[in-house]
Amino acid sequence: MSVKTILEARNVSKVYGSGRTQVTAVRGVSLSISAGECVALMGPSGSGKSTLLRVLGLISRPTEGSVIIQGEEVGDGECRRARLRNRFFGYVHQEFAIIENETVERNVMIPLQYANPKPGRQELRSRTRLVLEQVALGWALKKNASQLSGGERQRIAIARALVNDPVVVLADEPTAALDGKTAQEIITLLLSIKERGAAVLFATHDDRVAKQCDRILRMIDGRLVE
Amino acid sequence: MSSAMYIVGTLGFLALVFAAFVSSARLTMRQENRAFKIRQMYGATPIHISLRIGGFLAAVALVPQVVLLFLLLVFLLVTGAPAPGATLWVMLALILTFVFLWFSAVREVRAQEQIGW
Repeated sequence: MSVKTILEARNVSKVYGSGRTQVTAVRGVSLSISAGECVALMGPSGSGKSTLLRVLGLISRPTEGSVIIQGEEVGDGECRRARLRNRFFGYVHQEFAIIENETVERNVMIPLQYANPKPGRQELRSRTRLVLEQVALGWALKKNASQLSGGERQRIAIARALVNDPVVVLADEPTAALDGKTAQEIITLLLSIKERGAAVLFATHDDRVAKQCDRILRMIDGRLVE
Repeated sequence: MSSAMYIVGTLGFLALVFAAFVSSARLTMRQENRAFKIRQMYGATPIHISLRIGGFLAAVALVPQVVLLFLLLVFLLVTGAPAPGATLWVMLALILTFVFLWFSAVREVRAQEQIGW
């Protein structure tokens, strides 16, 4: 059975700053991720995991090399990149990255607001409700995001990452700010995304998280070593 | 001489009001920056962000003031008060300030590559 590559990086490098302050965060990384695969990206702090995730997720542009999505190279045009971010990716981050002064419902429906075609109001609401029920937050629909606990906020971020049926979910240290029990709940929830056919890429320090993945990649000083 | 001092004083006062207005609007924009970046992460294009910033600024720094000035203009015209046209100049100044704020806010948000987190 052939495994379909959905996301690929070819010789990607990322340099921040210039002159004396120049820092090379990622050096010539090539990797590929297949549909339904769960990959852990491990390495010490500052090894370039987050930067690589940002480049793969089209949040940051590579200085060199290219990102290929379903066989097509991603160009430089911001509108196309924005469209791909919306259609292709879900993002989960350790600081939750939610809008505190908005309701849970409004936070989760953000990706649907920029979808093309944009769903109607009824569909927008029903899909938001459905995904919140899947992460056991159906009761919090109209609550303000700032009223919820850390674990619940992370579930909001996961619900938002899933609402658009992404092909790849990128999770950057998703459990770093959580206690052990809540962290395992979040990991179980993220791993369940595989059942929907989506790939999950974790950047993590945590061996317990990595052991639950199909494949482990290690980064040191911006290079992929394994 | 006294009229020149009056003009200088008024201009100084207006400059202070303008500076306070701009810095307060920019502070609010900075607080909203995170929300804009999250939206960019999930597919908002530069046009979406520009329109959102414009709408946000219009709601806090243009529409309420212009509505009040318009009501004042109507009141001045109805009562036959002198120089009702002054309110139009203030409206124009507000619109120009709004355009300046919109342009600089969009440039600030777009200048930072970091989006999302």
